[in-house]
Amino acid sequence: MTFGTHCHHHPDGSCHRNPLHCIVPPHMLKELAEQGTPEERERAMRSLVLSGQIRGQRQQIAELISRPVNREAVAVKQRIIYDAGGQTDLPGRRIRGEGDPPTGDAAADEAYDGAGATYDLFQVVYGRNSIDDRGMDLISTVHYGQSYDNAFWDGKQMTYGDGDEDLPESDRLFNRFTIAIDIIAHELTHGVTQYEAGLVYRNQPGALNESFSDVFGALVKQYQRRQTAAEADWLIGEGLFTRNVNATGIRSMKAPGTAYNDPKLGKDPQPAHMRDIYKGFEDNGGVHINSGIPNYAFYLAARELGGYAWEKAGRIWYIALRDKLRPTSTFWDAARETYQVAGDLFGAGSLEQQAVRNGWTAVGLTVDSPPTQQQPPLDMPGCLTAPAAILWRSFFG
Amino acid sequence: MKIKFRQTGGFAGLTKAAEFDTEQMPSGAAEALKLMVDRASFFEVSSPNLRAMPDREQYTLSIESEGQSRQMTLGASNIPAQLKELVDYLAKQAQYEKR
Repeated sequence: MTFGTHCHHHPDGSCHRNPLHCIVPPHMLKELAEQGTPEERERAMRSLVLSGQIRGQRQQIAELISRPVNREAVAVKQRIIYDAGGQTDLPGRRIRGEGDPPTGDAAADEAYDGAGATYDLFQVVYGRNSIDDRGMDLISTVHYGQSYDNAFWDGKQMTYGDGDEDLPESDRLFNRFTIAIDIIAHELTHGVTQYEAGLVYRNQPGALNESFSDVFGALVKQYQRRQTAAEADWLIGEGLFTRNVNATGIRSMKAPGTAYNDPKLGKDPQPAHMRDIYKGFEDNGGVHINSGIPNYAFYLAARELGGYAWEKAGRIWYIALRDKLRPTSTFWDAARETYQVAGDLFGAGSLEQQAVRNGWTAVGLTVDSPPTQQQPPLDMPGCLTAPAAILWRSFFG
Repeated sequence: MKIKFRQTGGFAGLTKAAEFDTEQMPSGAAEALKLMVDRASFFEVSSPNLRAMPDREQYTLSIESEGQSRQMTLGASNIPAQLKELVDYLAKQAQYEKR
């Protein structure tokens, strides 16, 4: 049984699924959510969640995963940079708006340029108008906190710490988090994922969320440098560690597990194959660890296709993220859906579709048969049959 | 009083950890730490929802004191106000852990 999502068409001819336009009445969704096949149950659950049928959660729903009803006709880039001045209040003091001249503050200007480059890849190559595809302002805060070794997306904006730049040089492990353009693109892509697949930030869906951020992070860097898949270094966060750390970057998409090996920090823990998947609880179920598996699959597909990775592999991954994947999608769902999208875009049995299949096969995922053993998609056993409110809490509570 | 603190998550995916045993600490520092735990009402505060946000840190605190023990996991975006002082202090003390 299929049930409806109202579709409008993108310039590339694909159908843009928009759950807010869902035309199935709520009572039918509830019935499907209780009695359908697992896939129907999950789709119905998502539609229920997105259409605000779950009482008392409207505000959170709107904030976290709502998507635009109307697209703006003209794409307009609107960047705003704030300075937290070493405090942790967001967004901080406004220091640069769209079209303003550089401030001379390296972090502020890198955040501005990086957000611009990311906007451009999504707009020029994939026809997307900002994070929400509706021209949302690109808001960034720099100089967050004291010795803050992190950057994050909080559902509304990007935030960057200065790393250890306030410590004596010999004690520093991290430089400022705007230093690599792929970190900026990584954070901004978390916003795109929030408005599209809405991948839950835990276990396999969370690691996929991380992987999409790394994929488009790498593609923004390659697009800016006009590098082919063969020329690119496929490193995430190059230059973020200082010279006091034995590292080439934070993660390596072409050789997961090899980005660093240091006496103080130990070794990069990323796996490149399903047999080595991390099954623990920390890091929201290893979202920054297990992303190595889908990262490597993307790299392999892009290398096999050759040329600029954003043109074919990137487009396949983007459309899967936008139209196919859902909040609880697993690695195997991503494998199957990217394979399907490759077939839709380039033809069944095309070289492109074969390259996608080969990429996933190499990491232990066969696109046409489910894996025999895998990390459970979420912590709660049987959560797809749980009442909606419990399911909701398990995602976003 | 024994305190174990772990920080995971974050863009770089590294782990930070710190352990304290007030019996083994200089008395001034031990008193200050105990007072901080008291001010946080650590054993009484209700456990907040673990709200996972992209690249935000996740903290696990375990405290044993006078026969009581409790472990709590917190998301950096959702720390109850009364725990903030304690979590900030522990996060500052924590060191990167070797993998």
